Amino acid sequence: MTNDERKLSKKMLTYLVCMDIVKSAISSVGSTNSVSAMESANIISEKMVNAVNKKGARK
Amino acid sequence: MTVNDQESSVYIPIIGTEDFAKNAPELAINPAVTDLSNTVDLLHQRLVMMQDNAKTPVTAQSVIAEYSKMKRDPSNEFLFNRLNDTAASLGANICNVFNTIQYKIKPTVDTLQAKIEKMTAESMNEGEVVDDEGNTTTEVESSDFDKIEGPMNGEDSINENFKAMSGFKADFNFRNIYLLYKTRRFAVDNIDMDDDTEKENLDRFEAEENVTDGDAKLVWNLITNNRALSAYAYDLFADSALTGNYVKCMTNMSEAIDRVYPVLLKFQRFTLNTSDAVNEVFRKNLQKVFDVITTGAYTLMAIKNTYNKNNALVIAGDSKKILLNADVAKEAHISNDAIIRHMRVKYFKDDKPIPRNGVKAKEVKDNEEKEEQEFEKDKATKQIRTASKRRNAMSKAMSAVLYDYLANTDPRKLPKGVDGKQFAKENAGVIKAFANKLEATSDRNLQNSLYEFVINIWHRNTPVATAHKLFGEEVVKQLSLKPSLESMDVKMIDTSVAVAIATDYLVNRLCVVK
Repeated sequence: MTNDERKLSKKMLTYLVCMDIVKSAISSVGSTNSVSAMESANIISEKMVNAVNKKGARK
Repeated sequence: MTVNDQESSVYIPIIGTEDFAKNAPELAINPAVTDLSNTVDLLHQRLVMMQDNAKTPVTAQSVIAEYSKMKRDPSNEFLFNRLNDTAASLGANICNVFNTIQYKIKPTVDTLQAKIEKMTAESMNEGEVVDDEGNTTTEVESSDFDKIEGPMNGEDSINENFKAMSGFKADFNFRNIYLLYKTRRFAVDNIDMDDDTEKENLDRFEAEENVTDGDAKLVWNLITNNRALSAYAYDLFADSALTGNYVKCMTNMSEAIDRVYPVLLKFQRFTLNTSDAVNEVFRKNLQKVFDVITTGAYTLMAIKNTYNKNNALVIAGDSKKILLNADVAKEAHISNDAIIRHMRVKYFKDDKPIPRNGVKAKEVKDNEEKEEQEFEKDKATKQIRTASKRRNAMSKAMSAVLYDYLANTDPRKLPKGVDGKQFAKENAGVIKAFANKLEATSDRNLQNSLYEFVINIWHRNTPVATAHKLFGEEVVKQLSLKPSLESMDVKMIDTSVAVAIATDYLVNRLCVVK
């Protein structure tokens, strides 16, 4: 694995872990259970990117 | 659900693209959060090992696939348990925020809103219901002559009975009706009966004929008391015949048919427990009361005739209720809106009395087009004026209700040494700011203002405040796409807000962006 690949895999993994944590965390909010996994994943992905971009822009 | 249970395949269409991998900013777990950081590092080491063993180039999709494998491997359980703990703690906080909004803030807002709306309505028009133009809501009712004619066998029978009883022609002459009253044609004779006998007879009558004590005594009084019957006849028809107060006759005849006439019929088949001579006087008196009712009904027919001859559409009413002549209304084909508009403009606005013979259908029809145009022209101005008046009233009500709310705060929630009144006084500026903003901004919503107020007082700079702001933004976003929200939309909004809170927390507290 090249250095670039290592960087990329770490970055991807961090996103995946964060997305899983969010998905698991929101499952305790009752009304989110009827939202499909795919729709939840879409929302999580969108909000994650927004939050990261927002934080990036502040720096 | 735990991190271990997550089906990573749902992420492939979103994150498993090279574009995402290239363009997404660098996100690293903050080393300060040691557990999470270490977990990601360990996962990463294993991932690299797997990739090295497989000797395949790293792509986003291959990372996802390997990550899924790692989740299924029992030897990684302790790593994912750490992530589960983080997720559980985050989930508990989100639930707490949602519950605070739903079970603490919402009931408070609902109560405050109901009080403010009630107070606003009261001050707008002392409890009257007003429409968007600020007019009192007007009901329209049709006259019900059939109600009188029916039990008395129709108009012809009423006229025949009147002719036979009075000796007058049934030509609907109001003067003759009044003359008939003045001749003392309806005077009843004295009934010689002691109090005990009277009580015994009345009790028996009420029991046998199933009549209430009030109704039995009312009619008994008419049969036995000359003054009472005379006063009753005056109110029932003589006053209307003399002064033209037709509505009085209509109202009183309606009551007579409901209460007096059925009891009279029951007395007709009842025999008093007394001498034959007294019974004979009783029968004669009873007939006099029947004659009074017949004359009342005949007067009503005369009134109906007058209205119909005049082609009167509106026969009585005020700004709350308009009474139409059903016969003319059936033929005129004029909408209730047009009638209400005409009556407001020509009569109610300047307290002008309705003519004795009613308002002709022609008068309403001739003015209909012009009044409708004027109404449309004035509508926008009136609506703006009323809305402004309403906002002002609501702003005042809001100030009073919120001050009272804070002054009655549970002392346990107050800072030490501060009582409710002091607390309300200290926050008077905040109350004023919210009330002023409500008045100044035409599209500002009361409910939303109250949410903001309660959050500002009790939850300022907390995740609850963030969540409320996010809910508002999501609702606006959804409503820009469709006219109304369904239950699935609400669930999507809940999900979006929960996700936004969770991602903000993760990205801002646990992660660094490079």
